[in-house]
Order: sequence, then structure tokens, then C-alpha cells
Amino acid sequence: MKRIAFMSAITVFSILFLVQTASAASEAYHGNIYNPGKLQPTDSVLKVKVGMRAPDFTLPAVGGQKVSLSRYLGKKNVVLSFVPAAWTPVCSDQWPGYNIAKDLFDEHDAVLLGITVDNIPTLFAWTAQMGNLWFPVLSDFWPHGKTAEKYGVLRGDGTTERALFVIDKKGIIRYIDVHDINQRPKLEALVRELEKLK
Amino acid sequence: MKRYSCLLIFILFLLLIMPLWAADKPPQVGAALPALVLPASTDSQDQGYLGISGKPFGVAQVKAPVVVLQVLSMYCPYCQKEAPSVNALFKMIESDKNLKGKIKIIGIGAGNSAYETNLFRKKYSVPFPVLPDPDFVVYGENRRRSPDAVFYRSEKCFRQGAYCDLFGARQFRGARGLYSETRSGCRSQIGGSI
Repeated sequence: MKRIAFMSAITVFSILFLVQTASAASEAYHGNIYNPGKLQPTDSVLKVKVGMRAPDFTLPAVGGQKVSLSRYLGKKNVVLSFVPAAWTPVCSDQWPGYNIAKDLFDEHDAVLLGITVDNIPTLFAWTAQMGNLWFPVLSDFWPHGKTAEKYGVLRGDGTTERALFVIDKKGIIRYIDVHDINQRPKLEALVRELEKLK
Repeated sequence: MKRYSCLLIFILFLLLIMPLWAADKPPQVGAALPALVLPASTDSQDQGYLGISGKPFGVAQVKAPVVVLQVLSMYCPYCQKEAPSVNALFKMIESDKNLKGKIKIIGIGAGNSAYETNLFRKKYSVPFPVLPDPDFVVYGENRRRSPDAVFYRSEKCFRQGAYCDLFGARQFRGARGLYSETRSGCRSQIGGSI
């Protein structure tokens, strides 16, 4: 029994020693990022799949308005970008990249909706560090994670997966990427999927 | 006995990986240049600027006394904000007869793919080479937050720090400020009339 405990302790310590925690690369958040360490890559079960109609939702945006997915039906392709939480590594360095890629979304007649489970004041403060974002940032705070739950990307700890959904103008899901939460999805993978919508 | 054997193996294991762990820390001023291999640039203009061929290369192969590795990311808001000033700095260096050819800037897209570095370069019309480092192979040697600038001379790091707070002030300096600080910072390394 003691040997098992001893070996377990060594294993746990080794893992803790070796694990490289992801860090927000940008100096923009200097001293303001909470680092939860390396997390389980995914922690939920998808409730939608490619080819299904995307569940509708209405969420408040940082700008004060409410945004419904259905408002884009027949007008725009939509990219939903769920990120786990404000003020955490990786997330803080994902949307600023999309912020300089507006042309790519425009070229593909697409809008981007950023979603987290944080409340509006938190999102306001966090996104202010990113510059002026051209896309709406939506709060799925209350009822907590209801939209994330509809899509099956709400994690057990109340945050969401790092997930991308591409929805065409008919409201059909065309692409899903529930990414390893510790890594940022490559932009070119998303652009390739947008190109398929043409 | 077995318990002590396990402990011994564990300690040997830690000693084995320690150098890798240490390499993940930023280089100190005066430290020898880590054995960085920068990815090849396919751009002939970049190759001409750096004096290299289209193969992966080391910083020491760059034809200049001082090489500045400007660590950036297309996902980093400060790098975006700083880009016009660093571009202007590059142009000032290139149009200064005392500095041209003596200080070369290489952008390192930390965690960025070639597609992403190209997007950043196009978006901000970056005139100097920006090389992708998708797996943090280069950035991992420095492990600092971006933007960051690491100055190398004769394979030794002699100055380090993001341009925005390179000299202690956590604020953005205009291109003139960067130019002036770069000149004074590199004077002892290059000598001459700068």
C-alpha cells in the first residue's frame, strides 16, 4: 500500500513538473491573466453535428444590444467562436487575431459571434484590452451557459470548450471544431471551411 | 531498497530534463546565443536582406553585426499596435547610412503558422522578414510575452525587452523613440559614428 502511495506521489509530482502551462503570449494583459494550468483537452459531449440546423439563441452583447442567431438567416454565414473564459490564457490571444482578419470574414460573407459564459461587465473590461473588436461579443452568463449547453460545449466546471461552428445562410451547421482547450485553432483551418461555403 | 531505486531513477530523470527546462527561460544579457535554427524564408527580398539562402539558418549566418529578433504574434494586440512603429524603425535604419546593413530585424511569429504570419505582414505592410514559429520552437528559447525584442551581437545576447517597455517605461514609444533607443543601445556593439 505504501509503495503504491509512494509511486503515485512520484508520478503526480513528475506530471506537475513536466506540464507546460499555456501562457497568454501578449504583453497586453501583463499581470492580469489567471493561468489555470494545463486542462483536460475537452470535457463535454456535442449535442449537434454537421448537417443539423443550428439551435437558435438570443444573447446580450457587450455593446448593449441583444443578438439572435436567426437574424442572419438568409443573409450571412455565421461563425460562432466559443472561448472558455475571460482573462485566461489562449482565449485572450484568440479574438485579437480575428480582429485583424475581418477582410477574410467579409470575403466569405460571414459574420463572427464571440461567446463566453462571462457576464457583460467582465467581457467589457476584458475585450477593452483587445482594441475595438469589429464583431459582437455575447454573454452566455445567465441562465448560465444555456446556449453552450444547447450545442454541447459546456464543460463540467461551467466554462465552455474552445469551439468553432460554421453555420451557413440556411442555418445549417457546416463545420464544427471542438478544439483542445489548451491550444488556439489555426486560422487557415477556419478559412478553408469558409471557402467551402462559396 | 526498491523505494530508493525509484527515487534515484526519478532524480536522474529530473537531471536529464533539467537542461530542456532551463532552455525555456529567456536568455540573459551576455548569454551565448542558443542554437536557434530559424525557418527558411522563401521570399527572395528577405533572403537578400538577410544575406541567406532559402534554407533554415542560424542567427550567426545573418550578414549583420547586430540581429534583433522581434517576437510577435498576429493574435497579440500590443504587437498589432506596435507594428507601425517597428515598421518605421526599420525604414529609419535602412535609410541611415551609419546603420544600414549593421542592424537587421527578423520578426518571429510566436505560435503563428506561415498563413498567420503572412496575414500579419500583409495587414501591417511589414517590410522586414517575419518567420513562422508555429510550435514555439524559436520562441520557446526566449519564453517571454510578446512583443519582445532580443538583440544579438557576435552570438551573444546584449539587450532584451519589448520595444514598448525596453527601457523601463511600460508605454509605447513612437518610431523616433525606438530609433533613438536602438541607436544608443547598439552604439557600443557597432561602434563607428552612430
